[in-house]
Amino acid sequence: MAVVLARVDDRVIHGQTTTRWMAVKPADAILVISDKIAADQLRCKVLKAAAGTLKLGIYTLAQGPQALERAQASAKKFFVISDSIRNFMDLTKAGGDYGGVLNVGNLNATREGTKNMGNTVMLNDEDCAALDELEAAGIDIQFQLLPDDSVRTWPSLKAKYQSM
Amino acid sequence: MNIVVASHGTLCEGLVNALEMMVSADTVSIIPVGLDDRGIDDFRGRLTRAVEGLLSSGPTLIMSDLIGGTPYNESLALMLGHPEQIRVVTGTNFPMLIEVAVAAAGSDSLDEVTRVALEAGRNGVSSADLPADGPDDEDDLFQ
Repeated sequence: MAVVLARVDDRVIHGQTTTRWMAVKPADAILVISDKIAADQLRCKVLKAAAGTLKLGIYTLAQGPQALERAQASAKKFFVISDSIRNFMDLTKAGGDYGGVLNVGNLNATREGTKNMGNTVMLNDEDCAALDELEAAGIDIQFQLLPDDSVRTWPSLKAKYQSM
Repeated sequence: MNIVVASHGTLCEGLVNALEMMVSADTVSIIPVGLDDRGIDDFRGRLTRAVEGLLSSGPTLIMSDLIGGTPYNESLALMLGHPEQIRVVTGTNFPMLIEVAVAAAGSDSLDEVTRVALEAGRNGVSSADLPADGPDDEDDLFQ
């Protein structure tokens, strides 16, 4: 499989990604797929620097499925990162193949109506709807900030969300 | 293996606090011991108790902040008393601590973890380069 990690992370490329996840799942390149990021030239430059010696591709959601197709056909190993759950749902609906497993890391940026699910994950109703759709599409959703954290599943977090 | 971070002031506590964003707290336990205005005897007592309390459970790496400073000197004195069980590194920085925390969770070899510390500490120091304009070449990315 050419995609070794698909991750939702609103800090995108940062210390946890480059020091911890790269150590347990070595990759050659990072694909960032997000309309918001692709439109922000300064952010693209900072991400380029954050990627260091790794190759970096930044794509819009419309370009995403084709980029993923090229990644899956490549001999290289890729991280695929986006800054929202909704983006991965849209990619999945558009036929984007990132390997069927979705890691959820940091979702801590200020957004409307969020509840704090612990370990740097804040979810709102829109996130929950997207998670339901991803699960219905057969995606294995794993809430795990760091490689040495235990994995939390969407059904267990959903029960927590609904009880809050 | 056990890790003690020995520093001037609260640098050690700050490093250990920052580490929690990078490594799960239950992966490895790291004890900070800071020199403060209570003075050198108080510091020596706290460092000695911390380190000697750990030795029954395995070797201990002491990560100090400044060569020749009091935390380093007192750590060195402890190492001289237990040369097989204690090692001291200095110039501790955040990249060094992250790599040591991960390595120490899976190793009891002072030689190995010390090597990891020195390599990560040195590699972690650099200046930011201006990134090239534009995206990476696509052929380069996928082939």
